[in-house]
Amino acid sequence: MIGLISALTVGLLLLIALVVFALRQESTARGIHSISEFPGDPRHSGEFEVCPPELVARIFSREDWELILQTQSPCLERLFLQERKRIALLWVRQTSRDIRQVMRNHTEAAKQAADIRFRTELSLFLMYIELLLMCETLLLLITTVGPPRLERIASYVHELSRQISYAHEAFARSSAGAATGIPTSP
Amino acid sequence: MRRGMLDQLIWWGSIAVETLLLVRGLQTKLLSRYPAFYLYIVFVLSQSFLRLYVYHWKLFLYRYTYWSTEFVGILVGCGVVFEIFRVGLRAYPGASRMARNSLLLLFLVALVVAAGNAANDPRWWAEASITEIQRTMRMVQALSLFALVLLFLHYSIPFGRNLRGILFGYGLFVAGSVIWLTFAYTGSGHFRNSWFYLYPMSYDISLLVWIVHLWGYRPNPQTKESAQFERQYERIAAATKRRLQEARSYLDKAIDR
Repeated sequence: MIGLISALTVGLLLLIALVVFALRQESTARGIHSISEFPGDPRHSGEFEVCPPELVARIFSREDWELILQTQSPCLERLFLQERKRIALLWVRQTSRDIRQVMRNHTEAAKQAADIRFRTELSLFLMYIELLLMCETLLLLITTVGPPRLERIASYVHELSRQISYAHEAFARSSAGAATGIPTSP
Repeated sequence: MRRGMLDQLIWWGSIAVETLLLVRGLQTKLLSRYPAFYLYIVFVLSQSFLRLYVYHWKLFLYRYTYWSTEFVGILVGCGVVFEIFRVGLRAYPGASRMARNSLLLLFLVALVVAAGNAANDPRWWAEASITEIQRTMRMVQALSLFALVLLFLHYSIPFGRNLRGILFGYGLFVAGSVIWLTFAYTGSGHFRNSWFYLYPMSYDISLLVWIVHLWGYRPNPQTKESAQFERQYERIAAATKRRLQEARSYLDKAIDR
C-alpha cells in the first residue's frame, strides 16, 4: 500500500513540476519575467524604500502595544493593531521578495560556475526554502495573531537570513579564488 | 466491436504520428540534434509493428512480447532523459554539475532503499510481478526527471521550443505510466478497463506535444547571456554579497532593539 501511495505521489509530483516548468518557460518566453538579473539594474540597487528601518524597528515590539493598552480605548487598540499589521505584512513581503531576488541573482551566477560546490549549494537552497517558509508562516501569524506577539519568530527569521548570507559569502570567496583571471570591477 | 475499433484507432493513430515525427525530424535535421530522442521514436515505432504482428498472428506470444518491449522501452527512454540533461545544461557547467551530483545521490538513495527492501523481504525479486518491477523502474525514471525539472526551475534554465517539447512530452508519458502502473492492477472492473485506454491515450497526448514542438528547428536561447555572465561572474557575486549585507543590516535595524 505504501508502495502504491509513493508511486502515485511521484507521478503526481512530476506532473505538477512539469506544468509549473511549462508555465514558467512560457512566461519567460513572453518576457513576463522582465526583471533583470543584473545587479547593475537600477531596479535592484538595494535600497528598501517602502519601509524605513526606523519605522520597521518597532513593528514587532510590545512597547507601543503596552502603551496603547494603558489608554484602555478599544477603538485606539483596534486602530493600532490594524496599522501595525499592515506595516508588518509589508515588511515581511518585502523581505521575502528581497531574499528571492538575492537567490535569483545567486543561481544566475552559480549555474555557470564550473567550480560550484554541491554541499554549499544544497545548504544554501535548504536555508532559502526555510527562510521563505518562515516568511510565509510569519505572514500567516501576523494576519491571525498580530505583530506584537511575534517578536521571537521575527528574530529567528533574522538569524536565518544571516546564515544564508554567510553561506553565500563562502561560495563567493571560493569562486573568487578560482577565478583569479577575471578583473574585479571597481 | 466498438472496443476493437478504438484499439485499432489508437494503435494506427500512434503509428501515423510517430512516422510523421520521424519524417519531420529528417526534414528539419532535428534527428542529428536529438539522436537519443529519435532513436526512442524509432524503437517505439518498430515496437508497435512488432506488437501488431504478434497480436494478429501469434497471440499466445503477445503478453511476453508486450512486457519485454516495455522493459527495453524504459532503457531506451533513459537515453532521452540523458539527452535532456546533456543538451539543456550544455551551456551551464555549474547547473550541470549540480544535476550530475543530484542524480548520483538519487540513484544511491534508490539503491540503498532497494537493497534495504530486498534484505527485509528476500523473496520480493522472485515474487514481484512484472508490473511491480516495471513500476519501480518507471518510478526511478520519474524521480530523475522530477529532480531535473526542479533543477531547471531553480536555476531558471531557458529551454528552446524543441527541448521543452521533448521534456514535457516524455515527462507526461512517464508520469502517466507511473500512475497507470499504480492503478492498472489494483482497481477493478470498469475502472481498470478505462485505465487500459487512458494509458495509450496519454502516450498519444505526448505524441501530439512532440509533433507540435518538433515541427521545426528552434535553437535553445542562451549564447548572449551566458557569455556576459561568464565575464561578470565575480562582479555579480560581489554585488549579491553586498545586497545580502544590506538586507542583513536592514533586518538588524528592524529586529535588534
